[in-house]
Amino acid sequence: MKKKISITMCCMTAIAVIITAIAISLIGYCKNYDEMKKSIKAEAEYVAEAMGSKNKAYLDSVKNITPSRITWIDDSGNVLYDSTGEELPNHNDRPEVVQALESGSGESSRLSETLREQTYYYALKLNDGTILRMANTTNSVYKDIFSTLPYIIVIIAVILIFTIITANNETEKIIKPINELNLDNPSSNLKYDELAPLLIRIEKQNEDIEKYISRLRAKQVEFETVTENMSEGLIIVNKKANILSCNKSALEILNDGEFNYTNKSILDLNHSKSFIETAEAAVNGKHAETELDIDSRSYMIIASPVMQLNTITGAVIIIIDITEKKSRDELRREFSANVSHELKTPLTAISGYAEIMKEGWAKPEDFRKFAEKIYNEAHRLINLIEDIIKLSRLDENEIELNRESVDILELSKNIALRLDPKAKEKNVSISVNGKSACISGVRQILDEMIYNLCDNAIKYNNDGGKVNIIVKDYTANVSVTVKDNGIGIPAEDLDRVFERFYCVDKSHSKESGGTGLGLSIVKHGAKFHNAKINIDSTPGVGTAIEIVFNKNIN
Amino acid sequence: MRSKFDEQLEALHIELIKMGCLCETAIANASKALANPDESIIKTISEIENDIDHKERDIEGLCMRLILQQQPVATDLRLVSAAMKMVSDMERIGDQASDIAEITKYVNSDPAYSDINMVDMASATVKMVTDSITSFVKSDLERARNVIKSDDVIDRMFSDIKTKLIKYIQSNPEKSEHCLDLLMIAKYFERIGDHAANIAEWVEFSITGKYKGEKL
Repeated sequence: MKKKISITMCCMTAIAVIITAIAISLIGYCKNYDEMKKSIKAEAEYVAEAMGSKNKAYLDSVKNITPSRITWIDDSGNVLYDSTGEELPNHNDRPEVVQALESGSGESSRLSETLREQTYYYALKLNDGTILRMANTTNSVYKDIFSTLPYIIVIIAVILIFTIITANNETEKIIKPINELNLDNPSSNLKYDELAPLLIRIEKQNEDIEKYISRLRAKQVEFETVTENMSEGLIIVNKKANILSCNKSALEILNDGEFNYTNKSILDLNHSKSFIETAEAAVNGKHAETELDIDSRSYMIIASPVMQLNTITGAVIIIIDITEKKSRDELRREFSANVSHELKTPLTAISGYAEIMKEGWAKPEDFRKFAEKIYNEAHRLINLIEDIIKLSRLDENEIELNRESVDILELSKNIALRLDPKAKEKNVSISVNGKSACISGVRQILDEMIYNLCDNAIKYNNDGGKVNIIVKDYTANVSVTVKDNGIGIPAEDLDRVFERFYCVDKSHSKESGGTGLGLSIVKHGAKFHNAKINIDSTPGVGTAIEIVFNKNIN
Repeated sequence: MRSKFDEQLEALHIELIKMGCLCETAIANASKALANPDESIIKTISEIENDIDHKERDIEGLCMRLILQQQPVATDLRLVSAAMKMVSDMERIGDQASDIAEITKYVNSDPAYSDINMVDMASATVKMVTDSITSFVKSDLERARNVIKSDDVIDRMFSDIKTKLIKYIQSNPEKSEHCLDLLMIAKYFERIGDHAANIAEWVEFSITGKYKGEKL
């Protein structure tokens, strides 16, 4: 703007100076020319008057005192005298001569292009019919103007310098308030009225923008709060797979340290093959899913393209932790496989014995033995199904919450009594120690739990072994410990004994009559009563399993 | 002009990550094939090896174009030159993974296999390769240096395996062919470890400008 104003001012000044110079030259020239014309006319009249009947000699004397050229022409155009002394041709075709012959006087002017000179002729008819012509030459208007050109240029240069300085100063003064406009608060600087509409408009737009920004910010904060608190990872990428946004969970899952994701590719976060393929599929417009294992956890990566007006603008990638789900699925699969296997085994035996009897392959005296086997297997099957039902009820929390105060010591004694025949059979002694301690719980489940523990302690015991039930009453807790000096559990199996159908010694499970569900029932019962289970076992020395009930919770 | 350059550098970075990913997959599959030789895995590895070769050529071309057209300097030049060196190491890793896959067909049934802890060596090598690529992706100097250090661990594992195999051959001379195959596999893993360490060294160079502690 400043530059433009300066240039315009300089041009204007230059044009003004040139026009003025030309105009002054023209006016001056015109005036000079008129003066010259007048003086020539007067001179001619004097000379004509003075000449009278005198001749060439007079004209010769006049020649020396006047700068004008004098020509004397007779009425037929022949030149009688010329002050230049040149021999001249007939002049009767010259306009001034023709005019003078007709009307007594005549004038004309002729321009010499080469000399850039203008000659003025004035002809006067004398009384004797001859014609006296006076002429004078001046510079033409062009020569006049050209001769002043150097002065004009100097003047223009001086004026231009002056103009540039002034223009700069002035524009600076004009522009300064504009440059110093406070656009954040436009109405505060209404120095020029011309700017008012613009400033008012800017102010209005500022307000609009502010509103818009605050709305956007609120939305952004909302979005960030939601995504930051998600346990799932969320990554938004553009169509070149560069990260636009990435929540905390995603960073924690994919990256183990601080990571500034601005302008980084998603491949910088994770570069496993399946992840790259999924991300690429999404930015190419295809929905893709994959499973990814990172640090012994499993994640589901779901990537979907983001489309706007049929073009892909990016992709959204969601990372879900599926470790639990996967292990649950696996447990479920294992459970169903185990259940079918465990159910099939007794059934196969039953069907086998029944077939032998049906086909009459067995001797009649063996019938009793086979029937007993069938009975035993059927019994085993019933036990198994009962256990499964109990477990599923515990699983589904279907047991009626018939809570009552249960004396653990009394319950333990009762169980010991019931198990005594079985213990004697295996030559195992069973004893109950401790003080009477009451907790609130479901008698049936508690009975089931302690019974199963004792049952196991007898089952997996050596000949002449001992089973000891100890009940302890603490201020906040009641604990019941079932201790045996049986075969014990190897350390590597300790974690797994509570799993369904897990038997440490698989080859002997059938012999001992275990269903593999006993400890699982104990675990679920403990969970139901918010109790803790501690297990301590040394192979060959014995096992102690302690259940700690919290008095306050129950 | 600069933005075009940035775009090319970014493309180089992405391509290197992809190539690294292919290497990781190749060697992970090779160690899988070792535990459970399967025709399909072996076939996959040879396909991956092919992809790696292509990627190597692509990346070299990209580096050449970058150098010729953009004349990078300082860090950018270091990245480009380190990239050119890294791809050849990565390509070697791919080759060796496929070599391992080829031999696995014959070895794992052998009782000598269970005596030596090849699986440990394989997983240690896989980790080295993964870490070297990760150190590049994240410009993680610390991780790169750890990779360089862990090369010694792999070397020790190799000499352990070698000693065990020598003993095994002495007591079961008829199994010497299998033992030699196993030795080859161990050697390949050891070489892969070296290449991973090389990659880590170039990562260190691209970050610090020093290669093996010396200014180039």
